[in-house]
Amino acid sequence: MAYNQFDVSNQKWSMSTGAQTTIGGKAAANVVVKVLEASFSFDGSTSTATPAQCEFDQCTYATNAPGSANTTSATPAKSDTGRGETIQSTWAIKWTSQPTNITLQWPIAVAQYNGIYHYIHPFVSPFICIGGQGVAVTVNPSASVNFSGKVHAEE
Amino acid sequence: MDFDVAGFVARADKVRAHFAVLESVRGSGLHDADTDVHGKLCAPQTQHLPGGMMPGAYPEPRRSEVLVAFLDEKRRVYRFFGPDADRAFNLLDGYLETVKKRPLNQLTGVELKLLQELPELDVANGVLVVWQDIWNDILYALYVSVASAVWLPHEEE
Repeated sequence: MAYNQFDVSNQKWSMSTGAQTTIGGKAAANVVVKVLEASFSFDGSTSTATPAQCEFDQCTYATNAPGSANTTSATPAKSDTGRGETIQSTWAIKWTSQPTNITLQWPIAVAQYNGIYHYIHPFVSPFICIGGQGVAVTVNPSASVNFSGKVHAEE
Repeated sequence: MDFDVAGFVARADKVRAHFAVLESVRGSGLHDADTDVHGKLCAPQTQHLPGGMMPGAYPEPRRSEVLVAFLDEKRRVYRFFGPDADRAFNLLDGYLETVKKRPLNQLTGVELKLLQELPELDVANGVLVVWQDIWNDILYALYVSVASAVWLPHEEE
């Protein structure tokens, strides 16, 4: 299996304040995941709201792994819908209790009022998530707002 | 392998009971009347309705009706137990029947694979075993059958 690309999306998640993992995935044993893109956007209508702190993280998922009771499980959508190979990593969205243990990979502050940020990893330096480990997209809004975003990855 | 089916069923019911409590509390995000910052219904079971945050979207089940699977990472399988096993099997069987009626040349890779894999599944002694390497396909079939699943570790934490 190679070059099996897919998206995991979280559309219009009604978020309150506080750090919450919006999208996360755990690689299956012995199957690496190459993360190629991550995007964040907000539909806030109050221009005075300070930006949301957004993070792309590594996560071991010692607790609250994708699919557990404090998450909403998500099915990865393959970019090539004709392929039969199953995506081996497990993904989820909307964590109601934060997973552990998170290590920050990179942060960015994104405006909640019409804010959008789409990071496409350079072809030469994708983020590599080894088998059994995980990635997480974490958002900390300054006020209640809806989040939409995605992770694009490859196995 | 012999399993304490009643024990797993009790653990699954405990998770659903937890969600049922959240659904009874305004502001939990799961209550029928919960809304987003723009006043649109936002609970999983209401967001697709007129007045919801995603009208016309695919309906989602109540979280208190979710299927609960147990992940055995050592053996790389998910298992459903008791009523969940029967319900998951019936949903997947129903899904299989709908896929069988469609022309092969219009099926996606996932649907073609499920056409081959689903007939191999069976409930034995109250247990439905799903191989981890097709789990995302099974999840997809459950989603389009308007069901959902969460999973817990095989061993109680």
